[in-house]
Amino acid sequence: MFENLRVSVFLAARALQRGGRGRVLMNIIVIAFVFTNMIFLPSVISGAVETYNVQTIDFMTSDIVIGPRENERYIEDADTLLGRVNRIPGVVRASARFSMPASIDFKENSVSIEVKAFDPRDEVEVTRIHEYMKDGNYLGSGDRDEILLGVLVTGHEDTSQDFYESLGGAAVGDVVTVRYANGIVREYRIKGIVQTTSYIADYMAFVTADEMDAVLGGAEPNTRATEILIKATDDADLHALKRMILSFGVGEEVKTWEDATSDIVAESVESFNIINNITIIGSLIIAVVVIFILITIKTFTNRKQIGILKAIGIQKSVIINSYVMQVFFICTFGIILGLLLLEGMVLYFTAFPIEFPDGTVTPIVDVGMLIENTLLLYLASAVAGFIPAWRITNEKILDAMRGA
Amino acid sequence: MITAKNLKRIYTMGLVQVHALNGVSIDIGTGEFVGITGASGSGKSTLLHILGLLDDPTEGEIMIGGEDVLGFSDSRKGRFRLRKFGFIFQDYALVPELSALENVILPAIARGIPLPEARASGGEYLDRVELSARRDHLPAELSGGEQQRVAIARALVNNPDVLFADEPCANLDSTNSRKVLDLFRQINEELNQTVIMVSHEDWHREYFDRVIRLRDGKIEHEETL
Ligand SMILES: Nc1ncnc2c1ncn2[C@@H]1O[C@H](COP(=O)(O)OP(=O)(O)O)[C@@H](O)[C@H]1O
Ligand SMILES: [Mg+2]
Repeated sequence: MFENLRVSVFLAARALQRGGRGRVLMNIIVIAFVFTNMIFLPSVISGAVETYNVQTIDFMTSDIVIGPRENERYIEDADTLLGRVNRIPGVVRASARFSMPASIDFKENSVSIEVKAFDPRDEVEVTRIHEYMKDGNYLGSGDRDEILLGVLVTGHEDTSQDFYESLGGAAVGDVVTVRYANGIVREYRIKGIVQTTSYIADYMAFVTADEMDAVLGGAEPNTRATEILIKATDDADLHALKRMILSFGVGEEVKTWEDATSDIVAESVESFNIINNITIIGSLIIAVVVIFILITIKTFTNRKQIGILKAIGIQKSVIINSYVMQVFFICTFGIILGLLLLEGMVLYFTAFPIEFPDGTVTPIVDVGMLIENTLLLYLASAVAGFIPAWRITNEKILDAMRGA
Repeated sequence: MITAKNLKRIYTMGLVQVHALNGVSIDIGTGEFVGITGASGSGKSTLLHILGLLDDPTEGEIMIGGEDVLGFSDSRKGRFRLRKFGFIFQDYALVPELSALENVILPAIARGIPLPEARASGGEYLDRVELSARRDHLPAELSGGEQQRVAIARALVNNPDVLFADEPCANLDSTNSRKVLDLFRQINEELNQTVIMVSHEDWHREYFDRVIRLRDGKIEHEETL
């Protein structure tokens, strides 16, 4: 067994050394490209998904989000719920939000949007919107006649550059008119403009909970909420936390950020995975074809040599193994070169991230995927090398020896 | 040593059947130097290949060292050739990707001889065929005579019981031919190795213990010298 391997290694090494180095190098390069191709697109897609997930947590849902019960518009008695949630171990902070449809007018422009109200002291603990101020300042808890707008709401002076309805380039300090759905009309000074990279987060408008109390105009402060965002500690198990929140008698809809991610996103991740698989299968087919052609040509031009080896008494399996080893050599160096290429590309795109409509994307190379694809490539190549070698070594000795 | 009975080899080419061997029986003793002669197409190579287990007869039996070798599997035949036979072909049949020394030691390392030992004995055999200076040359860098001497060293490295040579001098001039034949004579005498050699040169007779002349796939004449 060991002796046979030794002979295979000996034959393979000499064949690689002396049997057309240029061709070997070319095949290494092809395998490198195939490998890069297998990994790179999936890593960009993983990066895009990751970007979306981070945006969802940072700007939209925080870690866990509580919504109203089915068929209800509001979470009733949100203050009590907030107090209860805040005491659960693993919860950093909860922030209640109350939104009301409104139209915001500035000069001749008008935007229809939900205005969201929160207590800034709670909100800064659960989302990172405050870290993305493009202009002006974030809301303070006492602010009454000021509004925070996303950059897509304020828009450009030339509104044709805007993707959505915008306020035509309203700036910090400008005064806008907000007409709430309940008929109340208020004038607000723009206190700050937010720019987060997420186009959903950038099309939002925020006021303080105190201001919303005044808009609602009840005798008592508002105790209703449309959603409660919860920030968990870094090491928290969100599913366990969600179950714990539910077990504390919270009858509302409790979702982790993943649950809350819309079906559309889940579906597009699914389609991306299909594209990934097609890419991988396509790459493998290229690898198989290249290796198959290489070894077919090689074994065919070596027909006579294979006949000689068999005549001397070298076992068929030893000869086949020598070709499979050559394939492994090509694969190994192809994969190493591919990894270097990939590393270079990842470094490049980390320094200069790819601009996607919904934020910037840095490719994420998953080690599991790397290992899986490496094994797949080896397996496919081994089979592609084995078959032609096996075919030629099965030829009769004298026929092979007469051959070219 | 080798006993063959009624060997037949029929090639079928389309509708035509060629009786390359048509009932050859032969008995070769240990240490004999046997020459096989005959006109071109008389079946010399076919006989050599069949005795050397490189080809199967259509009919007949072969006993080598008391073993019925035709019943062996392909891989067992391979091991048998590796351990007991050495081959020398008309066109040298060296592995082009291996240097002279590597060609010589290949059968040795295939037998499991450790590399340093194989290199040492390979070096000795190259010395013997006067090619030490060319040990690292590839076959393409050697002349025909040199290549044939490398092939001889390769055939000898495993110290085989039987040496098969198919017109080893066909592509060599008379000086080189003599070198090769003298070498065969030497090893045949020193190591008592059996040598079976195909040749159609009359002057080679002086080296043989026995000559078997074939004609149309049959033994026409047999003569002990
Ligand atoms: N592979 C083959 N297919 C068909 N006919 C063959 C084959 N090999 C040899 N022959 C025929 O068998 C006969 C004997 O061939 P061979 O043993 O090579 O003769 P020699 O070596 O004496 O010149 C010849 O007629 C040759 O044409
Ligand atoms: Mg012949």
